[in-house]
Amino acid sequence: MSTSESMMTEKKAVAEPAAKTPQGEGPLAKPVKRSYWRMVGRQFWRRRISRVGLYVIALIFLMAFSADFLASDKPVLLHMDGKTWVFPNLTDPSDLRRYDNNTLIDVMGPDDWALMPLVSWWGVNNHDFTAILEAPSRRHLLGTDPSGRDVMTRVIHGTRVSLAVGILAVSIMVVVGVLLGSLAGFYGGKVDAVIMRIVEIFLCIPTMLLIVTVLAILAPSGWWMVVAMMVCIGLTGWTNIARLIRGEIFKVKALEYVQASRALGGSDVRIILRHVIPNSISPVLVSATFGIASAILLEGALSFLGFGIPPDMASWGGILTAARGNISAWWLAIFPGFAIFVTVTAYNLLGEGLRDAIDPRLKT
Amino acid sequence: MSQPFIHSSVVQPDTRPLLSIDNLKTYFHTEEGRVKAVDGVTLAVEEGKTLGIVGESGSGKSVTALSVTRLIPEEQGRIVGGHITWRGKNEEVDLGSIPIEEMPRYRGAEIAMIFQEPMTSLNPVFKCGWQIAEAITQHTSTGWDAARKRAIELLVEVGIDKPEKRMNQYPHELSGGMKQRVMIAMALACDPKLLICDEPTTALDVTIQQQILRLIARLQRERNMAVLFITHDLGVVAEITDFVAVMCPGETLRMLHGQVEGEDDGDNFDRGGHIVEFGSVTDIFTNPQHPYTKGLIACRPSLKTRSRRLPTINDFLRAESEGMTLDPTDPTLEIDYPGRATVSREDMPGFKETLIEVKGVRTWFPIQSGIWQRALDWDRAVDGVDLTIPRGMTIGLVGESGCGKTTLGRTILQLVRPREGQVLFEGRDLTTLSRTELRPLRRRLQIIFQDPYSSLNPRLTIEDAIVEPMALHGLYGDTKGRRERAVWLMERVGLKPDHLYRYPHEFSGGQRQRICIARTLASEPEFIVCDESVSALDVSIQAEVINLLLDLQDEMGLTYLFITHDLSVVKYVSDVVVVMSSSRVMADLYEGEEREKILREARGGHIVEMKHPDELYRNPEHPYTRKLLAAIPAGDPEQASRKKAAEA
Repeated sequence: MSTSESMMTEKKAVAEPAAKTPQGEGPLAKPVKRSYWRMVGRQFWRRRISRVGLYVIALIFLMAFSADFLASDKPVLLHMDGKTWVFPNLTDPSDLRRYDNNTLIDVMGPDDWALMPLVSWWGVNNHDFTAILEAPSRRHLLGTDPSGRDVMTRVIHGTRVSLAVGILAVSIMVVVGVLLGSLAGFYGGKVDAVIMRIVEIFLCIPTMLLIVTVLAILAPSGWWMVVAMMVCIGLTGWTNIARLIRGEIFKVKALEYVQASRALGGSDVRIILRHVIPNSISPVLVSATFGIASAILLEGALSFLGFGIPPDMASWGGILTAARGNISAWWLAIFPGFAIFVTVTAYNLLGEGLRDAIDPRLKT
Repeated sequence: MSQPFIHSSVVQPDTRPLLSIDNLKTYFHTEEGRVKAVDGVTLAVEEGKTLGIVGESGSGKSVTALSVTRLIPEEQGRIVGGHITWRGKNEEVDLGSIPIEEMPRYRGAEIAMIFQEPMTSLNPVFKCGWQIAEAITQHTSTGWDAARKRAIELLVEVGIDKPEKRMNQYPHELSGGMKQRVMIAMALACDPKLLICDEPTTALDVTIQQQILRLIARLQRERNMAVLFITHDLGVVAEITDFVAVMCPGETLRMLHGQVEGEDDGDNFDRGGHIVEFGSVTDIFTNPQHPYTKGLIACRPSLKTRSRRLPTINDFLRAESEGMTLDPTDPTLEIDYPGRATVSREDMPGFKETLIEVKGVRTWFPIQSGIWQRALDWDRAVDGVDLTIPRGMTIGLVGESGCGKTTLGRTILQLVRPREGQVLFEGRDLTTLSRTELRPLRRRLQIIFQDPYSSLNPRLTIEDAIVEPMALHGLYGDTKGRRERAVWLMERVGLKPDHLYRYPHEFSGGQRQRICIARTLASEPEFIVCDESVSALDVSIQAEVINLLLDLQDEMGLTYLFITHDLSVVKYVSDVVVVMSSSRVMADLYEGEEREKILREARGGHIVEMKHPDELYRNPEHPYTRKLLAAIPAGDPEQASRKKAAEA
């Protein structure tokens, strides 16, 4: 290839003076970034209703992360008998074990002080035996369940389970769906035929029954229960995403920039990761937000049927179960039901806003 | 700029023109602010005459037509000023100000419109006959049976054979030209007095274009209709119109005032699309007054053009601002510009030595079906092609859609693998190399695509796009070296280096095509397939890009395979012209026995004739080439009338 190389140098030598435009010192002036995602963001932000969805979801996340500060049976800060405890609500120190917020107040002296949890003074598994199935009152803002546990506390702590279920289940969906869907879309032919048959097989699996079976066989405990549910939802729910991205990739791979990259000798992995997936991922994002909403609903339904989260973990579906046996205790149905409704609606608003923002008619 | 447009001839003002547009202003409201699409257009269409509106994209020509029929989406744009006076059946209305609900009385019934894209203008789920009959029943009190009968008459009138059969066919069963005929039949359904044609032949092949143009001209004569003909192609205008209005936006005229882009954004260039010149078709072509019109005529290569580079519209505007007058009809007009190549390809090493040899290549695509995708039949895109491409030369490849020219280009680059045959590059047979073995060679064999909008990844900055090929092949050492090279490339293709940080959507079509050229050059190729690379561009931009490609060839000794459907462009740029066709394409030009014979042969895309351009155009041998060349729109009205006379 020596001939071509010598040609190359010659080329430059003759071509250089032809460039007339002056080469300034800093030709790379300040970058004006107006990327695709910025435009999507702007378009999304313009609609008030999608902004509301985003705010509500942010609020729910905040609630999940700060659940121990909002509702706990221990104070956030405590100064008693000349000793100071920082975040006893998180650390649960052994010398305070025998107290809860209400008993603490009784034993506190005049020089002692405490910063109490903001919303509720009851812990997740704090049984108030003096108030079984009590209607909302000052002591229990949203009432109590049949074992005397505070509903407010359990609704607040229940956000954790709901968010975790939604997000992790959808992450599994997206990873599996995008991987298989893009392979099917990019290679087409036999690969596509095989993957689409797998998709059809998975479509036939009833998610609910699968989860019930898996939970019955593995009998996991605590958070493992949640993980098992998420994996089941994720492994059955990816088919939709795979189909979406496959269709999108069929469209994108025929575009000329993909051809150009191929003509330049780009490898398949490079073409897929750099050119194809970034341009076909947006409908998947929309589908994923809707997926989070439906995963939350599914978790609620399972817990309601008694298959889901163990009773000592707070979850919205779990509270609803209690309402099934106690029809007259309306607060057991209304409040967790409302929490599910708000979360699902917020995710749907977010999804709709995203869908409109990435609409191909988006002005560029 | 309140100067009135130029009347290049005194037009006898008809006191009662059919349609008169007076100072029409149609503005669009977008996120970026107000866009003055049409800004003060005044014109009149007389009964039984054809008025052509010519302009490049963004000149407001289509919006003018849409304003007349009030088809502008209301939430985006509206008519903010002026009058559109329509003198229809014994009444006079201002179409610009009547309530939109009354428009259906005029649309279709008195003013009919046909559009560019026959593929999407017909509803695919209804039979053609039904769609025509529906148009008839909607505007008249005709019964269904009478409407069907009338529809058949109309199909006969627009030259469709076996009309009863076509009535019961769905749009996808018809060819593009036939669909456009059906569209015209629909437009004629209610005997309109004015037919608005918005680029009706742009999407069609040149032979079909000629048929449709003749059909429109014949119908116009027979029915004494007025026609408002909108196009970007001056050649088409020369064939069909009586009067011509040339439109362009104020922005384009910067050069006329000696200013370059971005220098001054004053009110001068704020004016939207307006008419710069109006006159009879002969006057426009033989004696254009406005420099923009002159540039428009000169920048499109005609069969006569002899100059080594094409003049551009900006050249004419600049010359005018400096007080010079250039003659646009001079076929040897040479204008110097910055960046013009100072060396010649003849001096490059290895000039005219064989670079690529194509031997007996067949590329067939399987038509697959079933779960396991078994091939049932073959689409013979390229069917036995032999071709030799010498270094430093431009091989022009022409043909109509479906002749396999694009597939041949991609087969040479091994983007599709042929079924049989050899592609020899410097003596190595590319078809036997594996993908890994091909990778280092890919650097030297490149392609520039047609659509500047889909050939850049919208998620990457220009810099990323240009640096990518260099990184792939490890050129220019490190990232810094590659960035410097990217800056150099941007300047070489005539763009500012600080544009490197932008995203593709911020550029116009012409600029994007320049970016694509820069990206292609980044890997330092020797052979480039230009696949319709200038076809999607406006004529003035097209001239600039062709000049750029020619300069780059001279400087770097590049070899081009120039694929196009444009017979004038290919004659201008090529050293050898190759005409491709397939049995199916050729069959459409014949009828009866001969058609059947050609169809039986069923040969896919192959070369029918290959010659030096001058020789080919003077002395075409193959009957298909002769038909193709006869269909080229005349460069000027004089030639058009001579052609018509010759045929009569």
